[in-house]
Amino acid sequence: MSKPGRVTTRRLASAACAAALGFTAVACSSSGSSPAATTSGAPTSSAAPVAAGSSGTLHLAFLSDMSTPDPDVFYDIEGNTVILSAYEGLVAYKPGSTTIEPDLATSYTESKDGLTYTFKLRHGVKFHDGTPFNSAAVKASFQRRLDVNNAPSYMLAPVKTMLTPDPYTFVVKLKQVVTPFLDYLASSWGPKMLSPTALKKHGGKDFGQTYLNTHDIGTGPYTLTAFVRGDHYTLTRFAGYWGTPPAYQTIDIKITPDMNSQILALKSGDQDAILHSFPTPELASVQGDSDLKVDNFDSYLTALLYMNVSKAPLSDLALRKEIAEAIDVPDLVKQVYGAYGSVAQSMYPKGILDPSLAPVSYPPKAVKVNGVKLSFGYTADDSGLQQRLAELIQQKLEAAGFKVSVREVQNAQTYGYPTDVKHAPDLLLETNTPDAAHPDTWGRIVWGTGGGLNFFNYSNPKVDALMDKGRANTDKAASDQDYAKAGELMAADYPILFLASSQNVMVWRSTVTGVTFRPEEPWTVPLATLAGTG
Amino acid sequence: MAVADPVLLGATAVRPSRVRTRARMGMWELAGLVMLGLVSVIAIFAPLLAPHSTTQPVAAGAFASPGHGALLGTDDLGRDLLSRTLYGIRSTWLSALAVVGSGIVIGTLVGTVAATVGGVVDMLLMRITDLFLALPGPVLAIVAVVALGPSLPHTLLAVAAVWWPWYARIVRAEVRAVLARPHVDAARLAGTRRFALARRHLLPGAVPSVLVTGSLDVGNLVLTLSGLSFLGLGAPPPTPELGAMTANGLTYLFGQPWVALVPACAVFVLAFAANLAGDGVRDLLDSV
Repeated sequence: MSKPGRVTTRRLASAACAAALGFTAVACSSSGSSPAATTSGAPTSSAAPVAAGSSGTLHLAFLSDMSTPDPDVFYDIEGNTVILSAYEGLVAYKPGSTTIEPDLATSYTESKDGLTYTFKLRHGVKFHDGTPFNSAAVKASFQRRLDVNNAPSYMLAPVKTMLTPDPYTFVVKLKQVVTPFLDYLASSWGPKMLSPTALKKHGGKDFGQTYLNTHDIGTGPYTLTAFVRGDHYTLTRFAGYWGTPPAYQTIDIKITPDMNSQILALKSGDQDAILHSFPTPELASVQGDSDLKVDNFDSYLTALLYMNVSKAPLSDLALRKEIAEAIDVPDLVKQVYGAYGSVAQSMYPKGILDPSLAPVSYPPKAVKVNGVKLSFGYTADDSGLQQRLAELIQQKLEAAGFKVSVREVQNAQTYGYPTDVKHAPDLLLETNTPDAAHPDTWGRIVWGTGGGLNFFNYSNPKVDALMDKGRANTDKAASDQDYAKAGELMAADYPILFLASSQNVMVWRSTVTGVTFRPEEPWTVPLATLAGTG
Repeated sequence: MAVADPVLLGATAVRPSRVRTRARMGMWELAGLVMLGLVSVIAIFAPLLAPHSTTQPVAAGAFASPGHGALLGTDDLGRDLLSRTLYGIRSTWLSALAVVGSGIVIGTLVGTVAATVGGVVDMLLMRITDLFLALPGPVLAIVAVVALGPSLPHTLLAVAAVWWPWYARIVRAEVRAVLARPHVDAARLAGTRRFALARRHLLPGAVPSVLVTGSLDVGNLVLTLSGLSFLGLGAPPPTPELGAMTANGLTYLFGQPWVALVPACAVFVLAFAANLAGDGVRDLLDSV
C-alpha cells in the first residue's frame, strides 16, 4: 500500500493471467440457478439527513492520484471510491459480505449448464447525460471493455455472445463454464455501465479513453464534475439517481501525498476521513479524541512473503521451510499488526473459502544456518507497516544466521520479475487483495502458472489442473474442494508464505455516519450511504 | 641564505597573527570546538559507548518511551535508540570528514597544478572543475545509488565527486596570489624545482583558506548526507543512519515522537557543533 497506490497497488498483470486462463474447454456440469433475487425498481427515498456538519460537502483525501477514472482501464485500489460512486454494474456484493446481489439488474438466472446468464434490468435508470439505461447500453458497455482490451478486460474474455431480446433483458452466453463469472461482474474492477450516447459522442479513436480520463458517463449516485490531476477531484450528487439520493451534495477529494498532513487535516476538521494506511501505532493518538472515531473492517488484504523458487539459494525446499520457521509468523503478526490483523489461517483470504478446507500455519522453530545471503525487497506503504514487517523479518532471519539485505522496491519493478527472475530478489514482501470474492481470482493470479502476481514463476501443473477443475465445476462445494486441494498442494512447496490478513483501518470525523465496507474493496467506501450529523 | 629568508619571513609573519586570533575567539566558538571534540570522541568510541545492539530488539519492546527500559526509548522494531543514534553520529561524522578530506586533497592537487603550470593545463583543469560544479550533488547521488546499488560508500563517492571543485578554485586563486610574491621569484631564481616550490612556498599560503572552508563545510556535509539518507540514499537497513532513522520515525510522529526526534536532534547538534567549531577554526586561521 503506498506511493502511486503503493503496496497494494494492483497490477496490470492479471491481463497476462487472463491469457494464462486459457479458457480451456472443460466439461460443463449443471447447477441450480443462482438466487433470482429481485428488488424493486422504484427507489425508496429514506430520510437520510442532508449533511449539515460540513455544509453538504464531504472532504476526503487520496495519498496519490488514481491512475484514471475510466472503469475499463482502472485496475488500482486508490480511486475505487470514485469509480464505484460514479458507475454501477449489473450486480454487486452486499456490504460486508460475499453475497452477490442485483444492482442495475433486478434479477439474474444462470442456466443449468452454467453457460448462459440472463439479466432482467432495472427500469427508470438514467445515465448522467440523461440517456436511459437498457439492454443495448449493457451490450455497448461490455463491448467497450473488450474493445479497450486493458487489464480488467479478462473478466469478459469468456463471453461468446451477447443478446438483447428486449430493452430490459440481457443475455450472455459463455464459451465455457467459468464459475467466477458472476463474481467478475460484481467485482469493483468488473464491467460497469456506460452511456452508449456518450460513448458514441466522445468515442474517437480510443473508445472514449481520452474523454473518460477526466469525465464519467455512468449511472451512479455521484458524477465527476472536476478531475484535476495531482490536486483534487470533485463528485457532485446526481439529481436523476434511481436509488436513495445520497446525503452529501458534494464530495471533495484532495490529493495529499503525506500521511502526517492528512492526520493534521483530519484533526483540524479540514478532512473528514483517512480511508487507509493510517499508521496503527498512531491510533492511540486519535482514540481519546471525541471528534474522531476509528472503524476497523476485515478485508481480503493479505501479506505475502514470496520466495524466489527459480534461483539459488531458495530453489531449495528445505531452506524455504527453514525461513518459514525462522521468521516466527505469529510473533511477527502480533508485533506489527497488533489488534488490526491476524495470522493468515489459509492461503485464501478469510471469507472467500472456508479456512478449515485449506489451512496453513508456520510453527516457529529455532533455526541456525550459516550465513546464507538473501536479498529481500518489499513494496512500501504510507503506514510504515510493510517496512516494519520487512525489517522485522530481516531481524529474525539475521538472528537465525541468514545475511539479509533489505530494500524498498516499486510495484512497477515487481511486475518485471517474472521475465528476469534470476535478477529478482530472493524474497519479496507484498500485500495484495483478490479481484473478487472467488478463490479463482486469488489462486490463479498468485500461484497459478503465469499468474499476474506469481512474481517468481512458481509452477506446479497439478495445482493448475486442480484450479481448472474447480473453475469448471458448477457445484460450489466440489469446486471449493478443488481449490482447497490446489492450495494445499502449493503450500507444501513453500513458494509463498501467507503471513497475515490485515484489517482496513479508517479514521473518521465522528460527525459522519453510515460508513459501510465491502471486504473485497479495500481502501474504498460507498459514498451514497454517508451522512453528516453536524 | 637567500632561499631560506622568505620562508623565515613567512613563518615569523604567522605567529603574531595566531596569537591575536586566539584572543578574539568567543565563548561560542570555544564551545563549538569542545562539542566538536566530544562528537569526535563519540564517533570513534561509539562501539564502546553503545549499551545495546543496533539491530536486535531490547527487552523494553517496540515504542518504549525514553526512560522506560531504554534511555532514549526504542524504535518501531524495539531497537535501542541511544545505541542506534551513537552509531548514526559515528557514520555521519566520519563520512562528513571523509568527504571534506577527499575534497581538500583532490581540490588542492587540481588547484595547485592548474595555478603553477598555467596555460592550457590551467584552462583544461578549470573547465573540468566548472563541469563538476554544474553537477547537482543529490541528483548525482541518486544516479550513483540507482546504478551501483544503495550503500554508504556509493553515496559518499557521489557526494565526493562534486565536493572538490570548490577547493580546487580556492587553492588555485590562493596559489596564484602567492605566485606573484617576491619570495617565490627568489626561490625560482635559486633553482628550486617545481614540486618543491609548490610544497614549500606555494601550498603553505593556500592551506589556511582551505582549512577554514573545510571546517565550515563539515556542517553542510552533515546536513547533505543526512538529507540523502533521509531520502533513502544511504546505507540500506538495518544500518543505523540519522537521516533514515528520522524518515522512518516520521510515520509515528504524533504518537511516538521520540522515534523521529532523537536522530533529528542528533543531526541538529552535529551540524550546530560543526558550524560553531568552523567559526572557531576560521577565527584561529583567518589572518594567517
